Amino acid sequence: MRNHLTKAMYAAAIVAVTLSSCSKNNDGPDDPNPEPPVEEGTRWITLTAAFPDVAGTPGNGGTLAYALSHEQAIDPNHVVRIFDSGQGFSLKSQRTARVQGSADGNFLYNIQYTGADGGVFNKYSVHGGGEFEEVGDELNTAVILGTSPRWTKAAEGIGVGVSFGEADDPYTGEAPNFVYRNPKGSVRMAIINLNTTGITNTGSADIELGEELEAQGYHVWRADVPVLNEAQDKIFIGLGIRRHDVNGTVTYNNNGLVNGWQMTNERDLGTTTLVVDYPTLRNPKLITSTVANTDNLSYRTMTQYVGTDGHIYQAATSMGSGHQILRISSSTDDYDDTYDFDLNAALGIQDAGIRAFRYIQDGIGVVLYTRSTVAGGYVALVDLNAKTATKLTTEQETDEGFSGSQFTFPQYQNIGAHGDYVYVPLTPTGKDGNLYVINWKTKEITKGAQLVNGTGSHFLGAY
Amino acid sequence: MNQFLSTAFLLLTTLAAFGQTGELHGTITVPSGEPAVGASVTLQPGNSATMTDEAGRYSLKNIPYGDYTLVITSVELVAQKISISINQTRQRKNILAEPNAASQLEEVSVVRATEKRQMEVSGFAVAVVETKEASLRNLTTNELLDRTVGVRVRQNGGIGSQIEYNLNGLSGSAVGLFLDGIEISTYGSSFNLNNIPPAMIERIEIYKGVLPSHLTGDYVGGAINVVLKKDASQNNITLATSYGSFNTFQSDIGATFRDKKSGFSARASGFHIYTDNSFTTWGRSTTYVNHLQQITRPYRAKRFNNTYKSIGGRFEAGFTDVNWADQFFLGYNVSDTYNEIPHGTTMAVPYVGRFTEYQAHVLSLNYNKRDFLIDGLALSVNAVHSNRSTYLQDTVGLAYNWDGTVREVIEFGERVPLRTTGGGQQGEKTITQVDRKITNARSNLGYTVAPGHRVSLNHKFEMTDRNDSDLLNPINRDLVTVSDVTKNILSFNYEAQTLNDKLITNLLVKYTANRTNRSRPEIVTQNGQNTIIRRDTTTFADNFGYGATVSYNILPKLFIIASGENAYIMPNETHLYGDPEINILPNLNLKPEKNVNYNLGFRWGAFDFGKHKLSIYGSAFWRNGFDKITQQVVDADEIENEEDADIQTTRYINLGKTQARGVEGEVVYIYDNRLNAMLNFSKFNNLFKGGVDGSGEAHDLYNEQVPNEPFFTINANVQYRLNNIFQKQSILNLYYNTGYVGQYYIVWGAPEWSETPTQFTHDIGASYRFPSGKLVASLDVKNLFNAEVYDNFMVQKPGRGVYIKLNYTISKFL
Repeated sequence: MRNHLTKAMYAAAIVAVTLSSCSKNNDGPDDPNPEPPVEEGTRWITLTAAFPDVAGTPGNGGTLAYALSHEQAIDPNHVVRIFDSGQGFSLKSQRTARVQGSADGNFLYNIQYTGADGGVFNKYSVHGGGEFEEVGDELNTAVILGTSPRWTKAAEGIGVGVSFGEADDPYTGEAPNFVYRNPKGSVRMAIINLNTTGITNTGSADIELGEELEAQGYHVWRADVPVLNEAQDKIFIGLGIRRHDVNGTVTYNNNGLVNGWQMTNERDLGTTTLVVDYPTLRNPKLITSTVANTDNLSYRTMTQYVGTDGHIYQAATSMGSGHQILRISSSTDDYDDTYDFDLNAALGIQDAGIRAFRYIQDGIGVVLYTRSTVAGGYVALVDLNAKTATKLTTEQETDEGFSGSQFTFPQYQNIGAHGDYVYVPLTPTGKDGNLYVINWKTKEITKGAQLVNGTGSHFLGAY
Repeated sequence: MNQFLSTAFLLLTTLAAFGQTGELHGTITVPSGEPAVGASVTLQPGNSATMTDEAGRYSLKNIPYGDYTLVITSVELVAQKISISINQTRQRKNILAEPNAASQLEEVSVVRATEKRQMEVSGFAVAVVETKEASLRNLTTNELLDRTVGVRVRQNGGIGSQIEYNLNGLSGSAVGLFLDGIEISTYGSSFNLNNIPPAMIERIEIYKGVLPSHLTGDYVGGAINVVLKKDASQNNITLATSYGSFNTFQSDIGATFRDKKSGFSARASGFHIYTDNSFTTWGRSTTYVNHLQQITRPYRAKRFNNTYKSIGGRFEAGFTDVNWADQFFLGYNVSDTYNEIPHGTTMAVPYVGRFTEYQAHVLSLNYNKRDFLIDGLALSVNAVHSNRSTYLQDTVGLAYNWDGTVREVIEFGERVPLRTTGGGQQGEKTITQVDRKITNARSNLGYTVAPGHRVSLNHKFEMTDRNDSDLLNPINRDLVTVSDVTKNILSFNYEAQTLNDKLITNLLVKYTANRTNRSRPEIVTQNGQNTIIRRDTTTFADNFGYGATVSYNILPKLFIIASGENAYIMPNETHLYGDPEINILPNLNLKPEKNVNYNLGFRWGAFDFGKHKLSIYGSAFWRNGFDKITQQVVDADEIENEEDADIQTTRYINLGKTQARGVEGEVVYIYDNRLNAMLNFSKFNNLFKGGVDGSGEAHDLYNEQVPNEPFFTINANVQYRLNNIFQKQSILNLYYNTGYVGQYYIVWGAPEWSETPTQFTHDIGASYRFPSGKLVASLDVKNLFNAEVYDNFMVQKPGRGVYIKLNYTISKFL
């Protein structure tokens, strides 16, 4: 009896839910974009876009996804209304989802950023338009990586999440005469098998900068952008480094709880990367560049890739503060300090800051950059071998809706690439824009599909 | 004792004076043991007559010896004639009267509802919940509130879990919670609506929107005021105990005593609650995570980490109805609670070993006097001083699954227990204690200028002294920022009854003044030597608010009720000064939030159609918030360390606008005083009216429903009374209650995956009053069909539960 009743209730609930969702769809505006036909073998280009949070912070509220074909992508008459009801697919995440995609465009991977299921990994299969299907197991990464995780697709089929933590307090002793102590901590790592959806190994690495640097106040505060090398035996993890003023004293909060030590901006330490063995996660080692001293941290995008030549190309940039691309040699697994790609030099300007970088093939990459003296968001095709750059002109590139600190470029997540083409959706925050398609071989840029934007919103990436 | 001696003395003198006449005295009670108050007692022939007093006593004197008929009449009682011979000088006759089934309910409801009715037609948008009936059943105060029109109780799980109240779409700090007009937080987390049993409560007033001057504060969403039992006119003791599902024990005891001659009165009450909250959850939020961190959901699991224990007592002594005071009480309130925290805001990760302990010692003073010093002047003072503490411990460093086992992970290739980051269940391992000393006083001086015209002046004073200690990492007090916040609210109220008392108007003016003294330490290095200096700042802010209410008795039994206000909410200390520990920057330029609220409604009835009675209530509300104090992510350009921008540095700003508009209604139907049915609903649109985005355009979410708030609820209940079932003079009540909550979404944009499904629950219950009237037994089945019910962020609430309760009243002692 009880079972029957329960079943009946479930059935009623399902009917109710179904009915209500039907009626919602019917209430929506007329569908201006009939769903593209789902063909087997179509290489979908998935676009993502984010809307604002309640306080009005652009792009911070949640993420929608919409997939289109290459033909639609290059068609300037095609209109994508991702924000309209029933169009964009809402990826699970209370705030902006941290999305990665498979090389064939068939899957999206996301770890939810904060909210009820912050830190939960989801995998979606892509079927065109707003059709996405959740596939595989959900993974709970929250305990290992936190509810606002930093992770990337480190190689095809392999995700790596990293989290710096368990740092010592930066002081010993009693008020008011505290003594500085270097806040050493460790990086926790998790390997996610994106094909079978499982966390197949985890580990943690104690960070040792060495006594000399530690005595000068240098310390690690974040780990980010893990990438796997070509041999798939090492993971390279970008580190955020700060420096305490060892002659200063503690900082403390209202409750009198000492919460830090005074900082200094003086820095004489190169870009530093943590290297661990894959898949054992053992043998942590730090490598440091002598060419650049900007951290290899991204805000929301991936900034290091394995090149066709097997070397790792790493944009030394942290929130648009750097203009160099470094090389980690495939033979030594260490920085190749003879190599330095300088975007400023290549473009003949002084104020470029790399916001997003994607290595395409054969030394060619695409860079999205902002400039500290001029508003706007710019696109350049770079040749990492010839150390040249070609600025590609886009229609709205001087719009300040790209460069404001919470606008499109600082939040950019992914530059899409497939075959000869690179896909770059460009919408200044709150304004309509276009999907630009670049033929990286011919250096030709096409203004493609129209992207209808919402206020406080922007398109974040293509996959 | 005194009373009896004096009565005996009186009787003796009577006897001596009148010889051949007799005196008849006694008490009249109804089967429940309660006295029949105000019943008329007539002796025929001769027609000497009297009325029973508040204890049901009567006495007739100077009766010539002979045979008589004693006639008892009252609207509450079946008329009774009793033959009696007077043949003794002092004769006692106690009478058991039968309640008048037809009119008892009416009479009781009229008498009891006087206050309720008066408040409901006073012009404020108010609902009054009476607890008398509920106190005999297995109902908690929160369940009662949740069934009330326009109220939604948001509870994060079972008994003892964190609660928020949503009044017509506004919740959180917008809603004030009061105990006898004093903020309930003064009494600490160990004495709140989670554990105060309905038996201790006289009634609960729920004001939506505009607040009367005796409840002023920084609340624009309204307030819930719990009025504890004040009555001490009878000597009685009540005992109640209940046991039910999830190993839940709840007991309470109450005693009142009054010495009629001296007016000395005392009340004592206490409660004890123990529950394992070991209910089963099986919804989407319950998960099992294997060693590969793969999630199985939904998963069926029984809660294992959710014990709640609470014990408390309240003792008051003083004088009632003496010439210098209508009421004067000194009180002591003590409470102690142990509460395991089973999960965070969501059920994503179960916690083991995270718990809090609350303790509070509260002293109170309560003074009421009508015609204070001069005729027509009334003074009431309610002052409370509390010493409360909150202890939090979280030191278990392993992660758990909902089945109670330790989660596993592959670490360096081996399967090992999963340790948490930080060594606690919710981040860093923690042991903290917060001690607060709070003084809170409210006084009201009212004066009747002329009949129907009354002015009153209300003053509220509040001072908080807070002391945090980190027991795991002891801190040096020299570095603590000391702030004391003093808040004064002065309000003036003019109430007039005009047009033959058909029109009641209320004008309210409120003045709020906040003073914050803050002393922040700074470490200064001089000649290589650190010293601590203090920087003191004082901020002062004040504002005026005003409001008005109107009630017009347009037709017999039809009242039109309207109210409106324009009020401000002051930013609090965290809003102004920020909190570096949680990355909130200061913003001293914050303006107070402005709120404009309107309510318009009617009350119609109760209409009598023979055996049918009907009353209808309906109301519409419109709430507008301006300059809402909202947390905003700080523009990275303004942060010195640019990378800080993505660890969510925020500050509070004045931004945007909110709007809630909606309607609520209630229909009550009574048939033949046996069937009592009520249906109410509340539906509102709580819309986001956000300001502009970063590029100065209207917000993309403009006009969207605010997520994670249910906005359509229906409640219905039916009660049916049967007399003389099983035993003569017994009363059996049958109850049915149903609740409906429309679907809502927990994130913006209403994506399907964030849907909280429609919820529909049914509860049934029965209570049986034994013929003696002293014992009442009740049985309740809650969530009869074991429906999947949720609250905040998909936290699942208990399924079916069965509870039994026994109540015993000793109405005469001493």
